[in-house]
Amino acid sequence: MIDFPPWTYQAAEIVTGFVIATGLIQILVYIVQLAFAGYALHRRPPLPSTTVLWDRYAEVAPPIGVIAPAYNEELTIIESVEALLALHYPEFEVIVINDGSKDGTLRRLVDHYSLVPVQRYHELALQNRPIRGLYANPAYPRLLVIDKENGGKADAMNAGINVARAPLVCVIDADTLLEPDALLRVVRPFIEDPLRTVAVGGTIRIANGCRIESGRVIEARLPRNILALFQVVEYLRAFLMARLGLSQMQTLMIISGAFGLFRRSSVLDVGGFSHNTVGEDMELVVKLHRFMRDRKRDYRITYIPEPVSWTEAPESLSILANQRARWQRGSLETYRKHRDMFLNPKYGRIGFLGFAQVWLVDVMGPIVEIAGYVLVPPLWLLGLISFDHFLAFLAVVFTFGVFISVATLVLEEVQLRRLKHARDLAMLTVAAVIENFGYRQLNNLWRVRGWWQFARKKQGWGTMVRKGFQRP
Amino acid sequence: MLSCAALAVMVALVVIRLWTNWRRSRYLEARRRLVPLLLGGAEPDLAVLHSIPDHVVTDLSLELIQLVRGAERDAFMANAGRLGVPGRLAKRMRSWSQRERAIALQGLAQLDDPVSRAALWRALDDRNNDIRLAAAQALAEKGEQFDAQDLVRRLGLGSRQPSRTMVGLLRRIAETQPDEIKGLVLHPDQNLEVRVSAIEALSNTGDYSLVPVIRSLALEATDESEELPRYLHALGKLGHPGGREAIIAGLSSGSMAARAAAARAAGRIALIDSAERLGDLLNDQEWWVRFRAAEALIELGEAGLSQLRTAAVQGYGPARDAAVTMLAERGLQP
Repeated sequence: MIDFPPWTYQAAEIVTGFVIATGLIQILVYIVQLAFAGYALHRRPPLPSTTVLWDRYAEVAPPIGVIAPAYNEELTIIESVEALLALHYPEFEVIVINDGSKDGTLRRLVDHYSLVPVQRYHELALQNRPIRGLYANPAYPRLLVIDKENGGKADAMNAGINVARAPLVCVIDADTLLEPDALLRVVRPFIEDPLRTVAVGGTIRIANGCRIESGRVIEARLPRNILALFQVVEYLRAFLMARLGLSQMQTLMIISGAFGLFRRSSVLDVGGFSHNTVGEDMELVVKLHRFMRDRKRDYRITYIPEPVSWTEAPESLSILANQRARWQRGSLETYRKHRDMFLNPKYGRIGFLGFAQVWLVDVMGPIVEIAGYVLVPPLWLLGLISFDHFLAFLAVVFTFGVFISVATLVLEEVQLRRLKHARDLAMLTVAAVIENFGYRQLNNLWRVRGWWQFARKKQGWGTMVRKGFQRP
Repeated sequence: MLSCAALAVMVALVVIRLWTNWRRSRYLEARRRLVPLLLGGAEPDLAVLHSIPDHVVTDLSLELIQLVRGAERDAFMANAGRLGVPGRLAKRMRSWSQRERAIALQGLAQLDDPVSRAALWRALDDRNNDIRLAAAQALAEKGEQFDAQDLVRRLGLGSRQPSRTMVGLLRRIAETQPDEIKGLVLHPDQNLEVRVSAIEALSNTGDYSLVPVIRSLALEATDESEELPRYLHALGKLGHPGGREAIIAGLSSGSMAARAAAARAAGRIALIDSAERLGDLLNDQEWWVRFRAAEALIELGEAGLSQLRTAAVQGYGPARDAAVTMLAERGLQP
């Protein structure tokens, strides 16, 4: 047994105490979110059928512009656009933005829909790279294609919002699969509370493994790939627990760029999506909070679980690592840009609860957790901390981690029951347990890499190689 | 401890799910037996139906009613009545669970018989506001006669955040009882949101007698008010030149939304004498106003088009851009 000077014992205990305390506070935050999410799910109105929704909303539903940026989507663009044009909604326009694709995305669209160049008087309120041309065909009055110079996703979405004339804009990824009635469901807050609602987010689920036909998920199934399966649990936790809970607390800090509905004028008020960040979706929501609170306006940014969209999750470690590092950078960039809101009484619950959550979970969370893995076991092995401390650390990391994941599944099963088979439920339960042993640590490592890239001011999105949705 | 408890609950839920899936398969089996009986169109044999659980009969009857229209729908509704579906749903409306009542109400809204209507009328006094509103919508859909003031009181309309659903409800009632909704506009102590929603609902009916009232309200409204654009929008939809004074004033409002709404209304009513002012608005600092002004000038016909062409040739900056692009967009000669 090595004899260390007394101060090292004290220092080791402080470090371990800090790691455990941070973990405990995080867990407390999750439990509060879980409770709010449970309350919100219990209180939500029953799901009406699409027919009932149509009867109820068709006459009063505001027009929606669906903004779908596309970059090198030649293989899937027609199927995606067909699915979008077939959405059930009274008045909508699909605006596809070809963001300077290097492949034949534009050519495929022009050929398939016999599009011709058109002129359209549009706003130049948001900054975007020059538009090269607009294309339409009177036979497809709901479709407009914008061809522009490459400027990234935020730039493409800004171009689409500039050209849109509908009061509401729904931003999606070109490869997002929307359920046919997703717009009819996501618009509900804008109908029931039209003056206060500025943005609404819906659920994103993982399409890997599902049976997909003509851009529609015909049968929801669990993925066979273990990484994608872990991501199903993660998405469930992120949407069902975190976003729903935060929305109920009126502190929602992000609406995913893959599926969100915004009041167009509010997006213009805050200058649209920012170019200098990879977390432009989170940053837009924070800008909306700031704008509304600066002007002391009563407003609502809401998440509702019913409208569902599907997305392809990465199935390889390298792509997933890039995605997670990018998400981490996005959160940090948003935090840095708006850090004056943190604990600022002027921003009320956004400053105290919303930003505190970001600080704890996104800013500090990965670093403290990785520090814990690196430091606590050696400290115990060296005899610098007691076995009780070591056990407490393990409990915080693993036991509570399992609890939060499984409790979210319980919530899903009790309130939503979207999984068809008991076998799937059992499989997800097993995944919710074992993701805490390996995957979670890997995820935190990727996030620390995101921290490192942020510190080194790395820009750009990296590559996302799509495998393509499984087709029959 | 916590994670063990969560896992135990989850295991229990998986077991419960196995049981519910088994029940679901029995439910589907019962449905399969019921479908041909109901689809036959003839009066079903109650003795045969005896072995099928009530909730299966209720669910399938409602699904079939939703699927079709016309005579087939009437036949399904008559069958649902004979099978006691309305009575069962009315009973479910007494449940303590708000969700259960809301689901039952969705079913009752599909039916059209005295039991369902009575249950819907009773639902107007439900303790939950959303259920009261949904019941009113269902009754309005069936053309039931309302005392509008009483309805406003029972539903608490105007006392909460404004909702487009209220406009939809009033619009539906206005189709059969326009005078009741007009009463809401004219009542001196009316809640502002209810009045504006009633005006919006009536603007679809083409009732010109409201034009002087809306014109006065628009002229009295302040520039910053939320309701001014809605008044102007209603005047445009009514399409009567009696709204001229308010619309012309609206074209010079300090509010962007009001100027845009007034420009749109001027185009709809074809207020030729607004052409010059609309031409000025092509230079407005707000894009929406410029767009609506250009649209209105096109709708005015030759008088407006000449303004637009002048702006396209002799104008500058935003006005020229608006005129040139709008002419090109509509396929008109510059």
